[in-house]
Amino acid sequence: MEIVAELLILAAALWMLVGSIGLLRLPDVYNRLHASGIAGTVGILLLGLGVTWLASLQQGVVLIRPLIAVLLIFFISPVSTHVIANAAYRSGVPLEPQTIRDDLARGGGNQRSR
Amino acid sequence: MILLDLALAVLGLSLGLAMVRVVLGPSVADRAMALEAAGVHLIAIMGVWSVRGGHTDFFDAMLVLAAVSFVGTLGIASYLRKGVPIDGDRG
Repeated sequence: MEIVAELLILAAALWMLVGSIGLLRLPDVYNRLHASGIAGTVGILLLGLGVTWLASLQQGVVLIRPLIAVLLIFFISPVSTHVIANAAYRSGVPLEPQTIRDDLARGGGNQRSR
Repeated sequence: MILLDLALAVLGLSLGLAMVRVVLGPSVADRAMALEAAGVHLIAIMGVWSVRGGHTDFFDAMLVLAAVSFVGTLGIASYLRKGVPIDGDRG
């Protein structure tokens, strides 16, 4: 059964590599945030399942500490993605020229959301 | 075990690519985002390293690093929006 957990970990590593390649190649901040979300959600969740499974098999007890850490990242990664996108737009980071629609530009773009 | 070695190599390469974006990134938001991705990669490497060695030393550090990296990201974003890292006037 350990081979399944190791395959989960390897799949997660390849998934996070795809996210990092996207982090390098996508054109602007708002596109790159999609790529960073890949590593923060699905990649870390697959890896946490594999690590928890393998560590529990090795130690002979059910270890949930790595699963708690990974679930913490899984829930806060989309939040920080939204926070960074909001801060980038308000600090005036330009959109890529091919962008076809900017809903925040017409009204509401510069108002505080809270 | 060879699969875990391979996964560690892939994660290291991925961390390197994220750090390239930290160095290149034209705006501060790029760097904050790439640093957060690098933190996620560090947590992943800690987990894989622990199970590869058969010990559980780094699992507590994974929890702490997850929380600290989130607070750091919030601080950078707050600095970008308001000009001060932590605003005492309005929480």
